[in-house]
Amino acid sequence: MRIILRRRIRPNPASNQAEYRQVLLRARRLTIGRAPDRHVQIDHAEVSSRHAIVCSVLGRLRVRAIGAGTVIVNGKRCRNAWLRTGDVMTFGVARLTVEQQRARGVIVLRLNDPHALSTKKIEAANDLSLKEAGLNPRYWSWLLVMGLLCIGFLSPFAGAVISPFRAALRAAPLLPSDALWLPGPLHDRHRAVGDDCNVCHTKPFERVANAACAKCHQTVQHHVAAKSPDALLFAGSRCTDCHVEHDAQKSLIDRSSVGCVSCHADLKSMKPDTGLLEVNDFSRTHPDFELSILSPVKSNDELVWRPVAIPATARAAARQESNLIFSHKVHLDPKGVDSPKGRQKLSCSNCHQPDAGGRFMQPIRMETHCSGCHTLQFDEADPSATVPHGDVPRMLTALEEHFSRAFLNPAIGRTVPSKGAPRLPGNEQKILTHDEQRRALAWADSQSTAVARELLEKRVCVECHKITRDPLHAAGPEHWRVEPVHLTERWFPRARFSHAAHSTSACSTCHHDVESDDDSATIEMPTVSVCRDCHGDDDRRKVASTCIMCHDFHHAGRGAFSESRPDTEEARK
Amino acid sequence: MAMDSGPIHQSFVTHGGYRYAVAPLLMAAACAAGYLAQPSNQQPNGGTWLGLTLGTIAAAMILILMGYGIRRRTFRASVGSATRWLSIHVYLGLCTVVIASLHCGFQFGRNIHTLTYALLCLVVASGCWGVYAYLRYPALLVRVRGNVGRKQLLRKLNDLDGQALALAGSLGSGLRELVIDAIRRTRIGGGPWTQLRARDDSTLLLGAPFQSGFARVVGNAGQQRLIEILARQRAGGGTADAKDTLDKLLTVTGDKAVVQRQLQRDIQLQGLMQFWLYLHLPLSFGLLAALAIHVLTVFFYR
Amino acid sequence: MSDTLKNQFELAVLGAGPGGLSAAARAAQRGMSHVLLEAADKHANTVQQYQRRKHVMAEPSLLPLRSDIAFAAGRREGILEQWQEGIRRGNINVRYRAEAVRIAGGRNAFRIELKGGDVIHAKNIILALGVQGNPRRLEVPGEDHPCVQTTLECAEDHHGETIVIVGGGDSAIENAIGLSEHNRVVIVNRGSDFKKAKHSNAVRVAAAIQSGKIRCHFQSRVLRIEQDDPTAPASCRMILKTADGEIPIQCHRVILRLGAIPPRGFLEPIGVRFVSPAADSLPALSPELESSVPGLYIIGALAGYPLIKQAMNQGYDVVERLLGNALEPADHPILEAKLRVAPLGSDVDEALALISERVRLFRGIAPLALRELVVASTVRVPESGYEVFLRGEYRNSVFNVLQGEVYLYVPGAATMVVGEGQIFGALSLISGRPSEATAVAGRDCVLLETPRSVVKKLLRTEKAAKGYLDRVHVLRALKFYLMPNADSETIFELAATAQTKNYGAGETLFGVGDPVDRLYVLGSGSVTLSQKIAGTEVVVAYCAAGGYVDCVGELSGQATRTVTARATVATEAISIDHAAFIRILARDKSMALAERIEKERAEQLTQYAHMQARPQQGEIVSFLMANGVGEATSVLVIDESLCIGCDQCERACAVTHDGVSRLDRKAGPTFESLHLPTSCRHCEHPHCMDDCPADAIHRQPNGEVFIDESCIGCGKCEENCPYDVIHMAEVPVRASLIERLLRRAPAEQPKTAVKCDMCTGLKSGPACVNSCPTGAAIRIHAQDVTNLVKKRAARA
Repeated sequence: MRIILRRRIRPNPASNQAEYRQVLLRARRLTIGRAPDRHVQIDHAEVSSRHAIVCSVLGRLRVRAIGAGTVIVNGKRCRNAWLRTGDVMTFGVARLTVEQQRARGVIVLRLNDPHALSTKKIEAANDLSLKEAGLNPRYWSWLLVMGLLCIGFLSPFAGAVISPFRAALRAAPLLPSDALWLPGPLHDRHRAVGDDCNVCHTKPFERVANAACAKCHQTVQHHVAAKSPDALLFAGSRCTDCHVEHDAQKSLIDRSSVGCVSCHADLKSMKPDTGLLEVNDFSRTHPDFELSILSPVKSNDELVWRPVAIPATARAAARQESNLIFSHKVHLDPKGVDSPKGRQKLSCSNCHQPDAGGRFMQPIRMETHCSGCHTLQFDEADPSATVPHGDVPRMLTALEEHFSRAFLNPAIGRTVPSKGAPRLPGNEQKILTHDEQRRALAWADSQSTAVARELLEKRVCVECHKITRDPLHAAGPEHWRVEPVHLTERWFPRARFSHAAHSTSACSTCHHDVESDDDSATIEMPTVSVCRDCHGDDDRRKVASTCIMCHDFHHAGRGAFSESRPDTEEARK
Repeated sequence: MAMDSGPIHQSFVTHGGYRYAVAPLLMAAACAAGYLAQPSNQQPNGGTWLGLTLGTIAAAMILILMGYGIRRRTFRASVGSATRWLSIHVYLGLCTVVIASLHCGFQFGRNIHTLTYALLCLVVASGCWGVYAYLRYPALLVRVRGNVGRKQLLRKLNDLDGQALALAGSLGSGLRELVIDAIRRTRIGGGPWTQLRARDDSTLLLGAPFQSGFARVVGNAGQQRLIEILARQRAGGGTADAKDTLDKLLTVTGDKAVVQRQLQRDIQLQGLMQFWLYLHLPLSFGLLAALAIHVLTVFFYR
Repeated sequence: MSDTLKNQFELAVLGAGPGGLSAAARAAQRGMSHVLLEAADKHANTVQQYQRRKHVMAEPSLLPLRSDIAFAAGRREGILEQWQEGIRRGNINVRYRAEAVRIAGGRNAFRIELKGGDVIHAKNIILALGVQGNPRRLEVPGEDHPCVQTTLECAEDHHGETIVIVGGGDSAIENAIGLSEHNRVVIVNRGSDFKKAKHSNAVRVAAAIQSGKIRCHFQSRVLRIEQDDPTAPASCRMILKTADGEIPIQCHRVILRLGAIPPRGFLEPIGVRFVSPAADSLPALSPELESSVPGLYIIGALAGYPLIKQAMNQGYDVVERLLGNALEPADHPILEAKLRVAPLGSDVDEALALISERVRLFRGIAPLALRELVVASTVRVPESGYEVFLRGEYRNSVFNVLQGEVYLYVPGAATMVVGEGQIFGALSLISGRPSEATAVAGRDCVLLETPRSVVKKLLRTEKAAKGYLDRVHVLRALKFYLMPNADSETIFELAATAQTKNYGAGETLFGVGDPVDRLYVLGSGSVTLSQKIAGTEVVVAYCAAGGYVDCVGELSGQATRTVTARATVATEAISIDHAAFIRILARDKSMALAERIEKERAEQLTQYAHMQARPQQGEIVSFLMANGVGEATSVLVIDESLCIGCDQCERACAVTHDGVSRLDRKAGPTFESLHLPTSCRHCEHPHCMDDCPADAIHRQPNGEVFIDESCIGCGKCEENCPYDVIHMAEVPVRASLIERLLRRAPAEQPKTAVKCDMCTGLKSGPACVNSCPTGAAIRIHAQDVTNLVKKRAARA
């Protein structure tokens, strides 16, 4: 659109008509305002820097205020207006008149600005500092603070305290919920808990209560007998003391010894009657291990075998009564031990195999471990015949059977005493006479008894077993008794030790000179000093070992931790 | 009569011979030592007793740092000079970041706590920028201004405008309006961006007889356009004294361009010197809010 | 009544000025038949002629007013109003337009002829004419030209005129400067300078002449005034006789400001005798103010007492005496109270007599003046060993020993004894520096402490006192500045050769090549020593009051100076004969003097060397000097390369001074990134103090110059301050709680002078420095300049 802008310059004093100077503009729109880049620049307080524009819409002239401002057309204030010839727009004190609209969209505007030729001081007309330019730190500060408070606090807080909102907020991905407060992710083990904080955080400003944990972990065992008065010592102790959540840990358990030592360094002060020794750390103050040996104890005049604790002091003298006669020396003889298949070298692992858990050794079995060499034969004439192991009566019957068969069938190359006509071939089926029967039984009986005695008292059984005779019936074959073998399997019941974890090192590193002892009663369990060769607390050169490496906090069979809560609760009050 | 003692200007960085750097640095060192000394099997975290102590220290320091803002406003204060306060403010601020980092144990996540930490870092960063600005720009300003202040520069510019008007008065009305228009459309400073870039937004509404065809609003940076036109007019002949006037007008306009440039540079440097503050302040208050939320929430869900 | 008809009166008072009014009022009060004759048609003509809204003082402020007419310091209008009221109330019988032309007869039978023939008979006459009524004329032809006037109603009434002002006094200068705003002003001065005028005025007019605002013809007198063209009666031509011949001046107006003289022509015929034949000498009077003509009393300015209050009291007293009761002078009770503390004679008069004959400073001062002095001073009776003042204190007063002795101690110097009648504290009075010595009272001694301002006034008027003080000052200066442990003979010997000379800012004490014949010690002000290096003048050293100028040159044995010594501010230098000094130096056994001088010399030498090496430092020094740091006790110096323009300093100043900042950071000169904002320098000789009518400007012991609440807002200090750091501001009073509750606006405050007071009462010191975040603002003392410049150079 083409605009002829006629600017009033000065009133002509002679004839008081004004004198005009005109410029011909071509622009899509005529810009009006205080800024210097406007077509019509008007310096007036009421005129903003980009105040209004005049444009032609489908050949009709229209004035429009920019931003929040207004324009005054023919004295009326409005946002925008259609213009007709003769209309007058007022900007401050300046007046812009539509003089005529000529052909080919040429518009003639008359500008009448009394200040057109006056100039202001430069500092008055310009913003010379950021402040003047409208930057205001206070404004931004408030904005930021308020924003943070709303997003970071108010909304999540509403969710946290007003349950109806909670779900809604957490559901909506964009709304700020108390997930914003989550200091760190839950541990993988606790994924199941989900993203509802209030499952564990039941009361605001209170630490997570054990009850919250007990919801799922009902059977977690107490450190002491839950019902015992000792439980009071644990009043106010919390699961969260050792099990820290939300802080991106590898394990959920606080493995440091600090907690344990805080009590066990001086347990007497809390529990005068305790039998436990004081311990500050492993490498220095940990007491030597206490063996518990399976030994016969008299209780209401009969022998029962129970584990008996041997204090570290009595360790040297301690022996193991197991009713087994066994010599590691013989079996581990470097030159080997002779066997049906000739001499054979044995090692520990021939007999001692770790169990599936890797913690303990599988029990030694005659059938699997010994019988290879110790075959229970009794009859040179028939080497394939052996007696069963572990049961004297069965052994006797087996012997009788064997010898009766041998009587009936001499062909087995043995000279059997015969009275009467020699047997003719081909008449085996002939029925024995009554007297023959009697003679046969008597013979078998005497044979088996003799062999049994030999086995039990001289040759085979006694090699390994302690055998006693029953004084009641001194005669007769049933008077032998093989004492049962009781081998100690849990030497250190309070500790946890994994053979599998130590499988890389030889047995002898911990179980010293086993190969030299001839007697099964001597004990070769390691002492604490042996462990300390490799284990230490903070020593950089050793395996960092804290209490819970070998000891459990939650002992089995102490009763559920949660059970002890009520009385401790009131103990706390 | 020359005594070898007596006051001398000392910047807030070297104030008291870096005295106020010592304490904060020592504190930071101590905290770092404590951090490294904690048991290896324990995950560093804001919740451990060490974490809590570090957090408390950091929070206290932030409050002290904000305290500088109050000190700035209490002019009767007898608690140390503002320079000393600023010196402490700077060094304390720097070591706050260290301690805060140790406090959080370098655990970050998408939560209010990390936001607080991030805000702290931003605040300190902007503060460092501020230190740079305060040390650098005043010297530059001195160079730009020479030995005259902005006041004098502005007065000079206005005088030149006045002279230009006076000279233009005697010229043909076309030129006269042009000169007036140029003065009216002269810009120094302006919007923040313009100020910081020292851009010259001056313009000129140029039409007949100075250019053929349609009139346009054209840029007049450094008064160049005006000078061109005046020069053309000068070349275009005229009476002797008209030429003379034009010559004068040209020199005046030239001077104006120089002063204008000087002012723009002055405004730019002033702007640059202050701009960081427009980040630092809001961020600090944001930090304060975030800190409050952080502390509250940490104890809300313990 | 009949008397009144017959114009018969007990008392006739001539002149309805304050004195006359007071006298008449008293007479009226006591029912004494009287008449008050006033030549003009208004009362108090002189006051009427004061410029509008002028603040009229009630000096001497301590003198109680004794009159039936009210009078207190205030605006001209208010006072005139009061007096008008007084006339009406006290039904005084006043006759305006009654100019006495002749007086005849004697006591009880005076005969006064008025213009227009009336005759008045009176038993006694009181002349309260004043002197303004009789301005000194030029006594040249054409003096009666309508353009010639002797008074100026209001400077604002005149625009665009050419005005010639004749005279070199204060009134001339004040008129000239007042008029020079809108008119072309020419001053015709008989002398070669404005020494007669107050220092501040002299400075201002000098500046005005420098800048060309005022033209001035020195050493010239008016020959005649003539009407050049008859068509324009509103203008005339004045012919001047100047050093270079006769000059005509075309002008619209001529104002004669030659002071006023007693109307001899009128008095002598009556038989009144005068003290001397000089034109401005006063009539000889008895202590009761009776002239040589019995029954004719003279009071007020004509009697030599120009102050309103004095005149009024005198009027009252004279009337009372006529009625036969001799009463003590008004200030008697005050004096009694003051003098009672010390055993100085039985009664006031005796004590005063004692003072005037003992105290050297007050020798030969007119009794009333002395009374005034003593009223202003205080008598102190310190017990033996009491420290009157400490070394390094700034003080507002000097002491005179009335009795006993006072000892002046200076570290590393012989103690000095001040005997009876001698003055002490004179040194810092002149140097404006803190006192050099600690003064300790001896056994039962009595001291008279006189305020600095009072003494300064005294020195302006009394030649003798000035002379004495100068002598003392030279002695003390030599002792304390130059040779602390020399014996008094030596000092006297040197003093004999001493001359004291004052230099204006920029004047040179000596230049390069001058013979080294005298040796300079600065009594006050400061001096820069400069050399021409590569054609440009470079400052090589700076020397403050008490300093010993260029002892390098003086002791190096060379015959001529190698440096130029230039005063940076108004400076007083004491110079002694070089030869004599060298003699003494040679004679000095203890070598103490020699060492001291040698030390000083070494110091100065290094300084020279240092500064010569770095000329730009010299520039900085001279810049600082040019801007009055040379006389500063504590001036704010901003390092532009640290200043971030946060205006904290200004804000702090405003806050600590109820909303009005006394400091303008942006204003003020800058050089080499050192910026001196317009803020008070706390000068050693505060220009603002010079003529504060209310004497409201004082100095703290720490040297800070402050204005107390007795400021009357006359704006003199604002004019006088060369660094325009004082401005008149309306100190907003914070509305009290009740006022705020009642939405009552606090009472509108009169404008008063505000300036930096170094934040007295703030422990943390000046708020501007204390609240500068970047350490750009510091305050320095004149003595720190060299050091500051040196350090800055070292850093760069």
